Amino acid sequence: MRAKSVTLRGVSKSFGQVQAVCAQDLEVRAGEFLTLLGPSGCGKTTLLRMIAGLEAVSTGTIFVGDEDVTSHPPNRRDTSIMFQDYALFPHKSVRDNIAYGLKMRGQPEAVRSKAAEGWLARIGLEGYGKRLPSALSGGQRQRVALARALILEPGVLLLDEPLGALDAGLRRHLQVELRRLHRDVGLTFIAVTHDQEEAMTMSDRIAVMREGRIEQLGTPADIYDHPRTEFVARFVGRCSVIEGRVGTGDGGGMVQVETAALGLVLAKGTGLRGANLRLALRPEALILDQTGPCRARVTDAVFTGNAIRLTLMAADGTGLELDLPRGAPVPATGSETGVRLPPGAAIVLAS
Amino acid sequence: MTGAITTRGLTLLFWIIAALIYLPIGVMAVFSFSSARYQILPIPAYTTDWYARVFTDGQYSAGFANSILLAATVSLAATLIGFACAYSLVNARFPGKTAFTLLVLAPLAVPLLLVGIALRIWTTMLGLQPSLPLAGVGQVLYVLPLAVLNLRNRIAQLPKSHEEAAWALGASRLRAIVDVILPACQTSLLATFILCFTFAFDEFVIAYFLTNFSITLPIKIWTTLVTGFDPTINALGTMVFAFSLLLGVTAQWLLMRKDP
Repeated sequence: MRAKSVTLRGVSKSFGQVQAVCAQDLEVRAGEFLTLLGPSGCGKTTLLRMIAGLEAVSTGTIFVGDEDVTSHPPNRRDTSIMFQDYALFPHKSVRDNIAYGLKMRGQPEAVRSKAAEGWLARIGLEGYGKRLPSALSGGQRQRVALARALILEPGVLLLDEPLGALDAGLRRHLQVELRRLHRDVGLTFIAVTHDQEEAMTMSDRIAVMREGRIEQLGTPADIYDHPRTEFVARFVGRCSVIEGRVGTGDGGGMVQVETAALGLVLAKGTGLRGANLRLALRPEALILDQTGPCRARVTDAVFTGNAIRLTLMAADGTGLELDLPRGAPVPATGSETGVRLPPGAAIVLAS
Repeated sequence: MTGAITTRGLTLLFWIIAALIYLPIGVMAVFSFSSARYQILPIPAYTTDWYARVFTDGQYSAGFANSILLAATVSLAATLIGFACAYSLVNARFPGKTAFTLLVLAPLAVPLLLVGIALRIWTTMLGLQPSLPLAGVGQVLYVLPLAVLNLRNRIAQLPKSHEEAAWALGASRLRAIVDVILPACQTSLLATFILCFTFAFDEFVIAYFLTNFSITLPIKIWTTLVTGFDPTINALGTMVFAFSLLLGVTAQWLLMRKDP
């Protein structure tokens, strides 16, 4: 198989006094779609550029497959990169752009031409080969950039904010396209994005980054259902955070937590008896129940499309968010209501 | 109201300065068509004889040929070296980069006479005979800052990702420059060449100090003026002015037009 794994060992990068990436280990499996997700300035793009060889590492080692490529220049790595601005060569035709990698490999014109035409057909741009990139729409340029990066069948394709320059509708469509393309070509994809929805839709695994560190690595479901820290919980989806103290442990991956906001809560996770900890609650996990044991006041109700999002204030003043399914009666703003928390709906966060 | 007055004042000042610069040239152009040997009014008759003299007098055409050859070689060299300098100034990170930039650009601020004398002393110490190629080397130093400034601005505008994309697709550093940077700089390179050409073509001091017998056009004009006035100079001067103006305007037009 062409796809290659990528292994980072203790990779860090500093620009002068600024530590952009701090001693990171990461194992990207051959053939998987991994997304580096995080806010701007978290070091995700720097990490990607180091894998591509466009940025030298300050410390650490990078492997592509079994090969140590740490000191290899970009043109000697089995990686290809697609930039946010696509970086199509403006003075070269679409066809010459796509075939550029083959030209650098010394392939004869006939081979280049055939391969480029093949890719043009594959991305639905037959007959566009002679045009200049400036004559294409944003979405078309994105596909040309993808074809150009994939024509060499690199072991690893790196995507820097691949959909960042497109409008929302097209972006959602292309997330699915990109995922399908990944399945078709069977190569390793590593993408960078700050959009959690994009990361969720496309990736096999997500590495959530914060201040130069990978805070959590896991499948989208894993990251969403078991966020380890408050940062991850808040960055991936919405959540409310409440505080409590561990009561009697329950075993089986659950722990009893005494909270001021919602009383006794059976939360997912572990904690030492008597320890103070924080719990994350997803808005769809809370259930509105007039007879529920915990009382809360409705402070706001917002229509979000597939649900009504209620903002509640618990008896102790903690703010909570709750998604009410469409069709359910909506309590009036200012009224008092009851809330129920199914066992395991709350998630214990690392302090 | 004061704003309008200031604007009007500045406009007037501009026209005064423009007149001071262009009136003498205009006078020269007018007398270049006068049949009289001296610049007297009224003009007795109009003639193009002096223009014909420029082309028939072998000394002028030899000087013209020397000047064209020298200016072309100098601007080609300055454009190429300037491109290399500009590229590294934009891309390289090395200690003393600011000092290096200042050194490259400094000749702009040094009086040309000093540059000429210094070059003459230095080349004599090195045992080099004054010659046209030596003058060429001196003139490259003189126009290089212009080339570097022009090209540095253009290269700094280019998105870094284009070059990086070429590297990632297998291009070497040099290959990426040839395939990506140079085509994006075409217009700027041409404009730089023309700009350097106009400066080198008119250059007198360095050429005077560093050549011996191969006489360039500006030197020929000067020696003619020293030995006594010849109306041919009016015709020649008018042509040189028109030529330089054309090149200068072309260069500016190219620079203002954006590279695709």
